[in-house]
Amino acid sequence: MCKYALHIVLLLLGVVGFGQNKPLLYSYEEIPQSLLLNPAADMAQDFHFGIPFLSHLYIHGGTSGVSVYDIFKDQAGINERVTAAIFDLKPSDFFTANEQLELISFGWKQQQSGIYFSGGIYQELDVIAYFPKDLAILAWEGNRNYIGQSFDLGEISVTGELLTVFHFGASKKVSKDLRLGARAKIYSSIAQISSTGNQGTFRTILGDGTTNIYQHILSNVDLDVRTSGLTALGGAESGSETVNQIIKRGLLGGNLGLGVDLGLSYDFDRHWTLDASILDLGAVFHTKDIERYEAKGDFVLDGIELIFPPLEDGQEAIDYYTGLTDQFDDAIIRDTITSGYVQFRPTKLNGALTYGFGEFGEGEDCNCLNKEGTRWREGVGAHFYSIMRPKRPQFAFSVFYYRKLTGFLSAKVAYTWDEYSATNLGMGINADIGWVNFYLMTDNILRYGNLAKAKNVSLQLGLNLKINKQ
Amino acid sequence: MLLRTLLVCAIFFTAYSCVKDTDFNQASDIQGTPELEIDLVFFTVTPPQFIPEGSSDRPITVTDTTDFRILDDSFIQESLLQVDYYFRFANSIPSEFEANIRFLNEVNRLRYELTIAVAAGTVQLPVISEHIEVLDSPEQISLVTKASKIVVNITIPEAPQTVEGSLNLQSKGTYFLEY
Repeated sequence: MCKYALHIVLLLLGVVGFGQNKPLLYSYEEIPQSLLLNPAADMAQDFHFGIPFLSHLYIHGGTSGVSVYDIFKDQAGINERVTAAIFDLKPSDFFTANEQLELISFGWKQQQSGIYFSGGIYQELDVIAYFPKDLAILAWEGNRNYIGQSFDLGEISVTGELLTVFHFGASKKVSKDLRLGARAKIYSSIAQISSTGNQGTFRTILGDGTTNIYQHILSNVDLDVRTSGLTALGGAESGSETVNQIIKRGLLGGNLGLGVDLGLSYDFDRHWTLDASILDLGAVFHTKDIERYEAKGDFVLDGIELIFPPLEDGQEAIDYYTGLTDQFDDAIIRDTITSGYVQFRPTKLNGALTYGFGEFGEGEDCNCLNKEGTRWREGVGAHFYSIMRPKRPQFAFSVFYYRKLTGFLSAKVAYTWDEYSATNLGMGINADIGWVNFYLMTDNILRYGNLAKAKNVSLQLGLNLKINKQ
Repeated sequence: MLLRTLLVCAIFFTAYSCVKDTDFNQASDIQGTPELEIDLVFFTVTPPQFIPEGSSDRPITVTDTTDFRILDDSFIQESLLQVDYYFRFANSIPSEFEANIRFLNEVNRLRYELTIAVAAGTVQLPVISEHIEVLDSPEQISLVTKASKIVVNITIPEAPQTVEGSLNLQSKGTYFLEY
């Protein structure tokens, strides 16, 4: 039985690759939100206004390792499939969820300078969790069959952030061939949690005969969980108070940060154009409502040693168990601290090389939409994307084809390769009907027949008004 | 009109994508079955610990007690299917021993008990006595999960004739969970 696509997206949000890779939207200059991917994007219109809360919605869930179908296929043996997945997945595999909702969007062209100014507010959720394979094996199978083997606690790596972004930018043609853009951003963090850069091992080894059968060893443990905003949200006494806290923290009442987007668009000639941008070059400075949990140290457990002391009447027995827990507390120092920290934003790099061709009017070199001769009816190109992630940068490469279908309708398809999927075909359409601009994009359409088999699912759509003076 | 058509197409496009050939009800069938090996108690006692202040030909017992609360957790109590306790005595004292191990609750009420005969050995040739206690019924498991103390009594039939040698115990628990 078919279920709605959004259902699976919401399902994947909890468990599930390349958040924010938007090869379809990148360089799609009929769509004002392409300015969010390259502040140097060339806007043809004089003004644009996003319909509040509808101008850009982006939902993405992904996993680099297994699909929902791999686990929940309608066949017997789910536990065997979970076991297989645990052993097939690598510690570098990850689950990610990303959501963006634009609240306000606007832009206008200053006629004298030709600068296109744009700004707005959007809310974003970004979560990535790497697969802690060793701990998963330990939880799933225990240590009995893994005596002598180390379980790596450093595989724990997760970040999640809910924030609002206030931004304002400008795009200006600085020469005949070059357009530059920049966007300043203020981040207003609602809540953030991260646990990265952990280290340590746990292993059970056979004892050396002097104590007990085994030694359970925690070595070089250095674990850190940082949270910001959760205490404020958790302290709310009712649902409405929680909502108020979210709104307050989202409207510059939480921890703040600064960032910048930079971009360029260079025309090699009338056909070839290079677009490049770096996004979210910045950080959030978490200074309040912080709780950080740390654990550091080394500990060896070999059971409880009884010494059979000769006790006088009324003399209390030795409290071995408390002694052992005290030893653990002394050896593994655990702290809850409230000192601030800096969380760098996941900086993204985009680059696209496009070859434009196909004239709009039969026999015409250009028309009103083909300003200065670099807008074409069709375009093919390649797009490169990279995002900084806790363990290492992730990369994706796409090829795309764009075509103006009619005077008001255009479409773009993109085929994306990343480290784990080579069959991601995405498609987007854009319509300009009068002042109304509407776009819809989705990827993995080859899997649309059964989204459960897709490792990435994303959907973005929006509604704007685009106004020209003439 | 055209915009409405596009919106309808968009809704159609997203709504008619499918999730099929899947059964999410299987989520309730997912069961981890970890098997955990964890050390229990260990000790080494020597003959002088069994020599009474006065002469005696009666059995002599040494006793020690420890809290043991690793099973005092609702998740473990609900998930525990079987416990195997393994005891290995190495005796280099030329006397037999009887080891009595009791699991008591908070108010010192006996919940479970086992007794192990330990064979005599020599300093030159220690004798290994092993015992595995398997608790695999819910009733048995309930008894040990409600216990919070272990009392170990080591009894020698009569005062040792030597001060050489030692009695060593190493032990572990194997906990079979299903959650």
